Amino acid sequence: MEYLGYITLTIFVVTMVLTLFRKINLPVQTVLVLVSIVSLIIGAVFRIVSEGLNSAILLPNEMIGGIILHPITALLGGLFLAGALDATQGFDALKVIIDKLKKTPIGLTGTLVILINLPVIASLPCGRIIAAALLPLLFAFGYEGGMGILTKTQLVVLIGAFTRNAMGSCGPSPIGGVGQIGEGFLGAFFPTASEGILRSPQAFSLIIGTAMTALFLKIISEKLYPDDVSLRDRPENLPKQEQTKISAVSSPFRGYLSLIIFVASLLIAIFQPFGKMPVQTVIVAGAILIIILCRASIQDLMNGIILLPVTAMASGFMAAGVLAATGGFDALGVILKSLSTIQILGVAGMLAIFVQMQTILPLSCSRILTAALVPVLYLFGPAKFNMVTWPQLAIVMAAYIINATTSCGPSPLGGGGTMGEGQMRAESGFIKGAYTYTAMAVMAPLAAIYMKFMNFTVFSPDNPEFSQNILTIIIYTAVIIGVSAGMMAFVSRMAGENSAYNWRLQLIYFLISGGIAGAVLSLAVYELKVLEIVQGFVGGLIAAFLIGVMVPKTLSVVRKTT
Amino acid sequence: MLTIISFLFAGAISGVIIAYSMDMKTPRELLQGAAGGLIAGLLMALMLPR
Repeated sequence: MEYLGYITLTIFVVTMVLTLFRKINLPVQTVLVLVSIVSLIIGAVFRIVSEGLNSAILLPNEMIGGIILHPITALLGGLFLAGALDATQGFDALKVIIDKLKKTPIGLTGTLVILINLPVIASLPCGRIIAAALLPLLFAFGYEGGMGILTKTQLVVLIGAFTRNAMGSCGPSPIGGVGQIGEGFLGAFFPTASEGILRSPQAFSLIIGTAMTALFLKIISEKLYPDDVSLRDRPENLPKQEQTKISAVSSPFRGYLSLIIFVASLLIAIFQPFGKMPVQTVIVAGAILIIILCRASIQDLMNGIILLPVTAMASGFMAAGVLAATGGFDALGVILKSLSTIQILGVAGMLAIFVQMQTILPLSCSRILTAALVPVLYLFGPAKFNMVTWPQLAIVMAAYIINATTSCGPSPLGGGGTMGEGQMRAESGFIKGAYTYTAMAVMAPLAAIYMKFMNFTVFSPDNPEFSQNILTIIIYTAVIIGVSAGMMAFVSRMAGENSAYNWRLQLIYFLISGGIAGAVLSLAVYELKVLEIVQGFVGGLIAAFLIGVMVPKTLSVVRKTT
Repeated sequence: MLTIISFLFAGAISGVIIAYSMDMKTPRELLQGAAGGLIAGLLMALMLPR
């Protein structure tokens, strides 16, 4: 039977890689369903031969059993509520608030900073919702959008950073967020984990990661791909009165009301002031209130449901279910465990590679692989292979989840980042370097550090082993930012006209940063153990190589050579 | 409380980096960026489990 696991695992990995490289031109969800069916048939044949017909008949049930309904229904509810907000002009009310913020002492700069971080604050279950609503507003800040407040470079940074924040905000969302998949597994040790044990590490690393993305876009991406954004700056000799005036932003009363109901629903779902109840109940109640008070129709609410993340999650769970039923996860666990026996890698190095897995294989929605790979990560813990303890597993899970949840951003398979690229009129792949770098080198290690030094006491307050150490968090954050920014400035200074040279320079930057990220992860997991830190560095180096080589050398090759 | 402090710190640093990246480099603009980051960090922290 163990051969079956290797066969189904091989089918899964090979098809995912072929899909990523566009050798299979089908939506990734379709590919996953086909993989599940093929694996199911092969599994059934194996079972008929080895265990008889009765065992084979049970196989589909085992696959369906792998589908976890809670995050799917929470996601559907969240999209339902966001659809209501959109249909009742709640986003227009938000735009009015942003417009007013500009006139306060925090000025345009402070308002833009809040705007960039708005997706994580809003906590929607899919970043595409808020990106679709607000990207046109961001575009309006530029010359072509009408307001002419920002230059082309500023607009690129604004849109790129906002989209980065949006395409990671689905992770810490309490209403069907990606993190909930991991939180369920950690509930075996932390009884209240499902209340959001992974949310703070994700949000913390996202707020820093977003800023570092902005910096990368400004000083590296713009230098590496100088001709690949076709946005226009305001011509210098253009009289000011010739600029198009953008119409004043306004919202009807029902927009404000639906925004208030939305925020109230979110707060009730998070803080549960009326006693414990499923988030789905709160969300549906909020949606019903919006239907009644803001005159939204069921049709409006249904329009808000984006099928991509829902089908991605369902197909991911299907593939995970069939891999579990046919022994695919056991096979992957055995392979990774044997990888950890290589002296230079060890468990620490293997984990450093594993946490970067979804940035190595970025699919259109992170839920696909998260649903399939989180169970494998869980098996590394005391539940099966006993390679790490529960707290160590939680640290690795925090790093893994933020890396996973941000992976839809740089995906070439219709990832969320393409929305930002479209809005900034950039060639496809412009944001890839910035997005993958920050997920790998900034966010994953920061999430691990935050989990270790800040978050354990919130979920296990009586455990004397855990304590909060704000100073350590501040020092680590400052060092990670300082090292990344310093090297970024060096790469920017060294970059020249030769794109192949620039790409190699960037790859070296990725390698060093990835190694450091792996070492920091090992430090968080194993503390000051030299061997594990070195192994983490090596693992991080390997992961960084796999990520760095996927960053395009040039974008508009055809246009440049003709 | 420490969760809020950590997010205020992250927000302020993030705000300054974003302002700098957007060529808003005068002391006033950097301070405004930090203030915006503080507000963003505070709002995020208030929404998190404590």
